[in-house]
Amino acid sequence: MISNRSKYATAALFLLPAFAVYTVLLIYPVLQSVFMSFYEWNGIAGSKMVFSGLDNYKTMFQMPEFWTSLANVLKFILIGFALQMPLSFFLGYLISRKMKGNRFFKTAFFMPVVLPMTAVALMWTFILFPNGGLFNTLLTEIGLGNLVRNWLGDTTIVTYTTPIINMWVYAGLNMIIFSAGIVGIPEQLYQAAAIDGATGWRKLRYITIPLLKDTFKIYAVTCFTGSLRVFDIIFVMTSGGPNGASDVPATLLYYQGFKYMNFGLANSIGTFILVAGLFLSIVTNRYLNNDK
Amino acid sequence: MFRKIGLSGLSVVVLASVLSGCGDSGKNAESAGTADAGGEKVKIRILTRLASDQPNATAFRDKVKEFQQLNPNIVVEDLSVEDEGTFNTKFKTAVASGDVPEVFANYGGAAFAEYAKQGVAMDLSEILDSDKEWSGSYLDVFENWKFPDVPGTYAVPYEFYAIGIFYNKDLFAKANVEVPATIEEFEAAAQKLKDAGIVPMALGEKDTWRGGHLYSVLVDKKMGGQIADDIRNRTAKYNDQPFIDVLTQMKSWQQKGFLGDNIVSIDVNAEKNMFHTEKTAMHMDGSWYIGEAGQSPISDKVGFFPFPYYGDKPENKDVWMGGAGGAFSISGKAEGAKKEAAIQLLKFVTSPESFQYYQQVQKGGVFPVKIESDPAKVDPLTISYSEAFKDATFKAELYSYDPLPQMMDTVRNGIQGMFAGLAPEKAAKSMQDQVDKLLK
Repeated sequence: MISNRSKYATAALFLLPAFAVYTVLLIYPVLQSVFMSFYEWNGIAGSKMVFSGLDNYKTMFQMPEFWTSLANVLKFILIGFALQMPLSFFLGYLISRKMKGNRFFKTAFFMPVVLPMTAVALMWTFILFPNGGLFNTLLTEIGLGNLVRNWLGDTTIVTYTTPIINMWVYAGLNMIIFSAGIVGIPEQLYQAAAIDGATGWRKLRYITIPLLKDTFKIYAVTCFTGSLRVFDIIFVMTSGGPNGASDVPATLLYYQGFKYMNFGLANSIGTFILVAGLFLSIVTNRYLNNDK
Repeated sequence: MFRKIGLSGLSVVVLASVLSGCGDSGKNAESAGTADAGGEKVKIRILTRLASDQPNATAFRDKVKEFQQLNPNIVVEDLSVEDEGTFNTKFKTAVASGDVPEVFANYGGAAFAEYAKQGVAMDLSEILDSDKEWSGSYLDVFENWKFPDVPGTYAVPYEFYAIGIFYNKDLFAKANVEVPATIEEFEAAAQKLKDAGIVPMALGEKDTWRGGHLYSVLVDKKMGGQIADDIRNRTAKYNDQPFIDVLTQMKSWQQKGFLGDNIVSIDVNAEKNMFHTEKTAMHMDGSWYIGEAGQSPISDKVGFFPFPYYGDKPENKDVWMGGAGGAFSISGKAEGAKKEAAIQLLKFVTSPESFQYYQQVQKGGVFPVKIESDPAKVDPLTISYSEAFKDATFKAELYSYDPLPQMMDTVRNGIQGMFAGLAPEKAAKSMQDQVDKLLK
């Protein structure tokens, strides 16, 4: 008989490669990132790193562009909850029903997730092109010419445009999450509700939504963390412009590190993203905890 | 549960870590590669922005190929990427990890001084002095790679540029417009073109350097070359009245439609496309555009004129934005056979013969060396270009003289912000505020 100790040793041995890879590729860089956020470093190998305590964090919180970037993240989160969540839920609900063409819609809604973000962002940049872009042309053609805007060039609009495009991309992915949750609800509950006289809306209201609490929790966590670390769509579509209006923390991090050689400050922004993400995840989990 | 939260939270920082966690204290200083100590094959890497299918890039790659054929013991690995942002990221990642390619392109300026000081780039003074036949062919264009507090010369230029205006002769004729010499004439011509339904001079301000170039040119013409030193020495401020005047003028051109519609959403490619499809009559660009103009659908209609000067400032007529553009440096860490191979390659691709070849392939173009041009092989645009700047003094983009590397983006973004709605005074103030904040 194999002893417990030997079983643990074997398990540890099998886990070791994954743990080693995880440590080298994720834990170590994260810890190094946090460590470097307390130093000033110009990004040149061999040059001295100077301990600066909390100076980088002080600078970060004093940067008006940092607060602008947080306001933009907030817009991502608000649009994520106000528009993307209902849309994803609706799509998930739709594809979970037994209806004709189900597989086609599932694939069609999921398509944007499969496409490379750079390609999607470029495609939307062209669609939203102010002169001759598809969207503005369409608006003009259907008699809504007065709604034509410079969607990516107007500082007051661009911060809403990019989260909406982001929604277009990720609605498909979240649709799958919601759909998986809906499929997991036992059919008997609906049958019992039907016997009690519940109609479609009441079933949705009193069975589907309450039983999807865990799914909503997953959505909330991914929405918070995804909004905090959004980068690619902004970088490709606007580069944070015009004049930094659409910057997000990750673009600021990139510019501080790779343009201005302020690696310490860049790392403090990275650490902020980590801590804020962790904090929001914990709070979300606590408030949406099933046990309470 | 907590572990789950931890994992989701950790995922937040993956981007941050990937982007910023690559720095170390130089433990990886030895460059990678397969240099053979036995002397059989030496491998060197080059990182440039000459990776496109444009004539200047293909001509350069031809020369690298030729070099390899002549030196079978040297293997050149080309890591070049054309896009400026990608290039910068690649280069700075290499600098941070201490693994800089043996030969790399850069644009010098005050921000490069730190690289010179820290030994990222090698001092090439001795190499330049020891081979006068090669270095003697160069014009005096090394300013961007010499620094007051770091003795030496840290790169050899391979590009030379001067910003002027390319124009469509047919559209000028259609609108009955003459080539303008002064800014005042330029504005009158632009109005005439606008009235004729032609965009006078489109500007692709989504790429912020477009507005930055226009600003620098106008500042040079208004305040003269001395202003670069004044910015460097902090005796001038970005919100001094003449700077505000320049910004106000740019804004008024935008408002009058001289620069096209919705300019902050249009990039430089769209801007060039407008010029090539005859939607705009003028295109402000550097001498690197000559080759592209020659291959464009309107090649036979393109003419060139120097950027106009202010009628009341004739003394600044010949101050041009220009000088050496890109240059090649050798890694300060290169040693032994790799160093020798890198020097050999550098000299080969920047020899007068190579520049002559580049000019032939591009059917023109101006270079930082004295070379004999064959009029049969060089297009008239190059000749008129060279004629135009024979009395010029060159200044780089204004903010490249600023010791604060952030100022390039700050000024360019400020200009973009102004085109997006900010008042010129506020844009100028935001630029100076950044200086004051960073100097605190």
